[in-house]
Amino acid sequence: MNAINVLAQAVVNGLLIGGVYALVAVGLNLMFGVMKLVNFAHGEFLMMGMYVAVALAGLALPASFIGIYWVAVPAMLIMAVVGACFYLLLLDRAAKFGESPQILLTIGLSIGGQGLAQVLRGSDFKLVPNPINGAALHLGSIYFQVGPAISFIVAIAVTIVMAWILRSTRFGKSARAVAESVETAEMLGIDARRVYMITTAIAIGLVGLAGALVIPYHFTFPNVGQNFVVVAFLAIVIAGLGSVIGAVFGGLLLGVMQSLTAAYLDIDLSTAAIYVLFLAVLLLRPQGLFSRGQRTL
Amino acid sequence: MKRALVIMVVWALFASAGILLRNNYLVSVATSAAFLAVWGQSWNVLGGLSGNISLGHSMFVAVPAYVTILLFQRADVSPLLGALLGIAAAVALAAVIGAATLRLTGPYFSLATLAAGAVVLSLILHYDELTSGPSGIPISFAHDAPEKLEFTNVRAYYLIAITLLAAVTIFLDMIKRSRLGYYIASIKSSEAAAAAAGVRVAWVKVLAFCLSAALTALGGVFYVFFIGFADPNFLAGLALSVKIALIAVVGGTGFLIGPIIGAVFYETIDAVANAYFGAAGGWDVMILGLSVVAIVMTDPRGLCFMAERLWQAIPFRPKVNISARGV
Repeated sequence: MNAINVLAQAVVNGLLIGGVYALVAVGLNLMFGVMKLVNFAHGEFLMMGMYVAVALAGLALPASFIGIYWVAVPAMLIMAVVGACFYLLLLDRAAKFGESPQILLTIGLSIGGQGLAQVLRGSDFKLVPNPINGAALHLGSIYFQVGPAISFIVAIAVTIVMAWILRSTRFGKSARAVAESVETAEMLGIDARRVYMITTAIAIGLVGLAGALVIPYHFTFPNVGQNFVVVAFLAIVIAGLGSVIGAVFGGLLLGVMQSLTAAYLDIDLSTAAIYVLFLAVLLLRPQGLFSRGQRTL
Repeated sequence: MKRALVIMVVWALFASAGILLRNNYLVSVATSAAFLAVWGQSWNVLGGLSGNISLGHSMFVAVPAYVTILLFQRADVSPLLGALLGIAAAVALAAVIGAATLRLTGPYFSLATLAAGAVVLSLILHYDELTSGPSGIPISFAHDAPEKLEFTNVRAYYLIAITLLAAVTIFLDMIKRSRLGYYIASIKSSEAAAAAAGVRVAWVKVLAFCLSAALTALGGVFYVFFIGFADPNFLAGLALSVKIALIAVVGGTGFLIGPIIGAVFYETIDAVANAYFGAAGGWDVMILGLSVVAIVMTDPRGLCFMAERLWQAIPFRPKVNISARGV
């Protein structure tokens, strides 16, 4: 393989990994943009989505393409309901607590969720046998792994749909109004708590979808969320907290960064590299790369 | 002064209890709790007083611990001198990170410290020729050697830990009442207002971060000799950073005794869950996480405030000032 091929392959791998980061980051950033809340338990909702998807996939024979991917929609819907409950049971009350207790609450939920999964499902690594795992297409001399490629395509589609929802639907306009100023929005008759509940449901639903999309090629285990969510946190800060489309670019950028470091330096340093990029962005452009001033969403 | 006296009396009680207690396991659990409380107390210098939640404090445990051990094992530098160099290294690291993140507040600051901690961990894992990487560094000894911080009896580490805890607690009490303490606390409500009142916000934040790092490092150096093994994923891991922040906030950040209550709470749950369900099942983690959720939902200010409210609900209570709330 020549140098161009190595570079192209690394970029493609990075983009494909980045698709999952993007899908996780979109929901995270939606919640931050609308509710001003950093959900440190987002990774555990991803983990929960993966377990739900694995359980659903076990119901039918997952040996075919349809057999493994039909679970995506029900997993997304189940997780959206979980998200609505998450808002109604915890976040609704915690909204008036302020920043530090909210950070503490979601961190507690994150730790507790990992423990709960371990108690209920054991700590072994689960992988549903399926034809997607390890399958690759090649265009010229570049390999596209099928599983990550599907996640990437879905991530792009979800971003377009989310951008449309936020721009054109009644809910989207309400959400943008609430993000701008809760007081003004409520004065104009928007039910902020309803917007918050739907926002949480969408965010957790999307992370459930992400979970269903990664189970064909990624092990499911209690701490799996941490593998994705830390990068997603960095992605949303790099992109600019609150910007949904930015979150996708952030996720893809970090995926590529990780893959390039692994290809050219050392796989151990691929994590350090994205953190260093993150710190550099914080120093030079604290509002994020894709954020224009105060505008959010 | 009165408060320092009370702390010393309590210290003496706990010291004699630890010496008299025959059960080595209980003493080592108490030692872990005391170290954790030292870190929570140190974390409070910035996190509690100014409300800037650091999620990277484990780097101030790992860096001085590694500096001390490596200087000792590779260059034969006495751990007592090595500890000073290690603490200096932690302060230097805090100064760099503090200077870089001083403009950030709220979740930005938390995420930046989290990222800095992760960089430290991955550097320790990567430069394995120096640090032995993920396999860690064992510290083995068969005889007592106080000048090398080596003790065969766990009670020695227990005494060190509670002495550090008493010292850090008295120090924090002094800071809270000092000019610097009021400066740090003024940042909490509004940085802009503090700046307008003449507080050099950036300088105060960096100073508080360095002070917090130095105190954390002090605990870290002794802790690694108590554990007898430098495990990078534990010492520099996110889990420890989170634990430090968690016990400080769960205890109650306004109270001097807050981190101590938080640490005792944490270690008790940990020990009981491990005794009943075994260490591998995930029960300890689940109970800890869910009880944090329950505490925040009941009173987001933490256990000490809950205790205070319960106390005030007693109808004929004796008039004692139990709060020791300071700033």
